[in-house]
Amino acid sequence: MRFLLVVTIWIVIVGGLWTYISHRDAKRELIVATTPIYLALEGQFSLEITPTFSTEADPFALTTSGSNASLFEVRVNGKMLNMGALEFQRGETIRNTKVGGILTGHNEIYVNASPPLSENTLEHGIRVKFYQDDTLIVDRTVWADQGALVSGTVSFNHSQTEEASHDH
Amino acid sequence: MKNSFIYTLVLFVSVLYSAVSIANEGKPIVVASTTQIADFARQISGDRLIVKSILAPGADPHTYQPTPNDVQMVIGADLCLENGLHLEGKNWMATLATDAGKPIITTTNGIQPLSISSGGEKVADPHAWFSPKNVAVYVNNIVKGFVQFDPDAKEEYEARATLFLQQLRVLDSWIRQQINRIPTQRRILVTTHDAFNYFCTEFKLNANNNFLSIAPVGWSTGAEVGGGMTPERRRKVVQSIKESGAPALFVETTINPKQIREIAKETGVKIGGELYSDSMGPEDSAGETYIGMMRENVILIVNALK
Repeated sequence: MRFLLVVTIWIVIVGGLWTYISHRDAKRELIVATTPIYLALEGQFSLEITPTFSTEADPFALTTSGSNASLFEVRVNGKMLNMGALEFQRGETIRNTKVGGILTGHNEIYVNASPPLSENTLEHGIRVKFYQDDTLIVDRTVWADQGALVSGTVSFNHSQTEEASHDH
Repeated sequence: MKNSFIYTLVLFVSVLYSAVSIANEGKPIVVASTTQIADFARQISGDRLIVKSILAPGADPHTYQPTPNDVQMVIGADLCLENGLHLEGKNWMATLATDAGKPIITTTNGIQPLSISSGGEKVADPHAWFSPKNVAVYVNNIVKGFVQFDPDAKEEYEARATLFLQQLRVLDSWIRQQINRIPTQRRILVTTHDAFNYFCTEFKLNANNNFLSIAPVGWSTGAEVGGGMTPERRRKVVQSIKESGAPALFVETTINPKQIREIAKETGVKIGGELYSDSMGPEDSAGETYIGMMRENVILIVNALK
């Protein structure tokens, strides 16, 4: 008799909890996720990066991937961008004049590079300049603390302009 | 009614316990020889693998004698990790893994070991983790091993390793900044055994000893070539302390402090504190992780020498 009572109480507790959770999750499913609609922009986009340091082999790099032979990384809206060089020199500007994947609305340019360990008493940075045709859209510098990787995201909003929306 | 309540409670607790056990059930087990290697492995594996360490915090890897429990632990393992370079006295970890037929990764593979001259013999120093740059090599070796063992989780292991490598980079930079607070002529590190060669070389301590450890006991506390304490070593250390004017001497958590205390008394130099060397600190201590262990060591060294 006692055993039956224990089982009954158990079923009531677990059943109640299950009912509550199912009810709560069913409500959640009704919420429709709103996905922002991005439109790819037309036009010629260029990116310039200028570091305050020369790259060198990073003793703290992950070497297992093998695919990333470059000593720095640039991504535009999450996609790797080939800057046409595997390393760079202090003060040298590297350009990519055919940047694709720029969207109407929020955009991100991510840069990551390792300054020389011998210069870990200096603060280093990478200047990021982004152009649409000849117009400067964004000009910002990503700075890092002493000894840290220079790693950061430059975000900007870009709206559809007259020039970009027409074919001429 | 009271009994019913107790039965319900017991049933509830047992179901909860089973749920926790099921969560860990089936996860591959990795057994590391030392606490440091276990920490590196956990930083990479997250909760995907169960990582165990044979050595308990404070145990000495040079003189450790494996127990029947260790044999059982390795038999139950899917993968083993060792330091190598004869840190594990008489290669006890490799022997355990080989006897149990388990794959083993030597985590120091690829490191250029420091060569120590002792009694006319050259010995490779196994305490490579005292340079964060070397730890990056340990990490890469462990990631390679994990990916080979569990290729589906490659990205997961690499993501965790990337974060840990960045932490190591910052640690390296922070140690340099801290050591720079000590006047150059006071950068003299005297410890119980020769564990700090990589640390001294990397962060430029003991210039009068070619940036190598000054210690009465050799690279191993065991009976290997170049290990243990000889009267000659002890005499040289006392002489070196007197000549260099070392501001403090340091004992180590894994070694009996008797010898260094005797030398401190003989030379009139204070004890600067207890350093983590061949093992990390116990659970809930500041030195329970590699980064914590290095941080606490550096703070102690800087405070005693500056």
